[in-house]
Amino acid sequence: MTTWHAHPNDLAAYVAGADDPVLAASVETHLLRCADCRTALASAAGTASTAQGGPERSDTERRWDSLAAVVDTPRSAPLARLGVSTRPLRAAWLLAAFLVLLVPVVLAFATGRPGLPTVLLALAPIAPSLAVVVAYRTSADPAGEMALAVPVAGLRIVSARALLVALAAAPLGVAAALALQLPLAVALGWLLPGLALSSLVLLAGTTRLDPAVVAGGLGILWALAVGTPAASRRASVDAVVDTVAGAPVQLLALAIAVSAIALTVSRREQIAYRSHT
Amino acid sequence: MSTVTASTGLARTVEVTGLTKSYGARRAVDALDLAVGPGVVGLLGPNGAGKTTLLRMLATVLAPDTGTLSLLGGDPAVPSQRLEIRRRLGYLPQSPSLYPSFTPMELVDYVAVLKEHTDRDWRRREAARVLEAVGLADRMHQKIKTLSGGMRQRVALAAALLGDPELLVLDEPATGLDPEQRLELRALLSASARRGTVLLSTHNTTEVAALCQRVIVMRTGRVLFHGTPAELRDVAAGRVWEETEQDAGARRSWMTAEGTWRHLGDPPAGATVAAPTIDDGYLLLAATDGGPR
Repeated sequence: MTTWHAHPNDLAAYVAGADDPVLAASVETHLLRCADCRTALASAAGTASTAQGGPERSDTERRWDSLAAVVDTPRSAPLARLGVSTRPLRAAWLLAAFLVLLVPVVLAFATGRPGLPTVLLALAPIAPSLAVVVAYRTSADPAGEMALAVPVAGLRIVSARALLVALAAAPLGVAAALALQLPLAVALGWLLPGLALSSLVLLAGTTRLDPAVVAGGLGILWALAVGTPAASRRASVDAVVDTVAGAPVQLLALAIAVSAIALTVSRREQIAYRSHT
Repeated sequence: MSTVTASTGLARTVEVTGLTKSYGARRAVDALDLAVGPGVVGLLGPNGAGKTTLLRMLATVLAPDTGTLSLLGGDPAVPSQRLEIRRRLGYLPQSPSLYPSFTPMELVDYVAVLKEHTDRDWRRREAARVLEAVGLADRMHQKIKTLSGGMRQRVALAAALLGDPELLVLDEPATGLDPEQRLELRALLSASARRGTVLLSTHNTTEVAALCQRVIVMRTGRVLFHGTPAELRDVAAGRVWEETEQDAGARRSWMTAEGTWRHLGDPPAGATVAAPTIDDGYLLLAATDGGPR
């Protein structure tokens, strides 16, 4: 409680923005402590705004403004706004598409078309795991670091960003494989391994491991495991396809994906409240 | 251990005990104790003092290694309480990276979505209000990439102000603002402080003098000083003198615009003691603690 009050002239000057910086700072400091002066300031502000007046606006102008306000209001599809248009996500999208589509096709044609199914199965599953890597980067969010201090920060936001890219890569890969007249087992056979790899990368994000390093390591291991037997002619392309698209590998991939997702959910605190960023 | 006592007699909005955060072998924040009430609190300190790390922990962006943290009465380590804190918190990072192809209205609306505001009309009104408050009413539908650095900073500030948060954590909010915009920022933050606590970091002692009720000086992750701006100024009372020559015995010396030497330290006999400023207090504190001479 203070026993003195700001002079009305000082308050009026403060409202009008006409006082010098030191006086303004002094008035502000006093206002923080004095309810009476805050009331007086509100009254002075009301008087000032009435006095300032301004030209009368016509009905047409008011209608136009309200129409403009409606038109300008963002149509917020939260998932789309989560980053569909940000450069890092777009780059991830393009990279994923490149991995799924172009690399297998180019490599297959370079090495002879019979190798195409193996190349696709070796490289396509890596694409969705790249999406997860990008999803952990705060630069992938339109609001950057601010998005880490909001109620929805955490697994929800990371998963949504990853899905944005991964869901684009999956149909592209399947459609491309079918367009290239590859068997259905090849067109669909990379999806569960892709899900397993991306789930492991997602899980890595709940630890101190760098998701990018984990994605790189897992991707190389997968590509070598699938690509080497056929490349070294130790196994035929058909045998590799049968193995990868076969029930044991597919079920194993599904089990890994489910376990990794369950573990990630149980460790989601590590994403929502990060010990490192 | 560095200790800071309560800033006011009012309810404390921020209470920190033994807070520590390390990056590898380096301790960015070192066993810090702190209690802050409503009002504007300024964090001063050289680069690398730990200001940004402390503010990131107070914004719930970063979890501490050890120590306890109470924000608006809640513990950010507890998920349900952290959620409640984040609903009542506004944060401006040191280098806000805003997506350049959005307009300020789109960006603020997007942050409002992240803050769980589902009513589209409310978001539109609130986004317009905060953008107007930061002086961007006429730029709200212009792409962010076409705005100046100061304007981009104000877009991020507008997003931090959404929903009148009770705790505002601002890392160098005046960066890129011209003197007139700094004055507007002071008015804005003073208004926010009427509703809660504003914690800001700055390198500008004038800002602290004009805006903050309390000031904290940090160095190497510890608190060197906590008090009012006047108390910081008084740290240098009787320890500032001016001469025409440089004085090797001074802790710090520099030439003023008038061509005289201003010295900090223990004045020699016969020296004319000058009135101290907050700058003097801050520099003397830093020099006494082993800072650069």
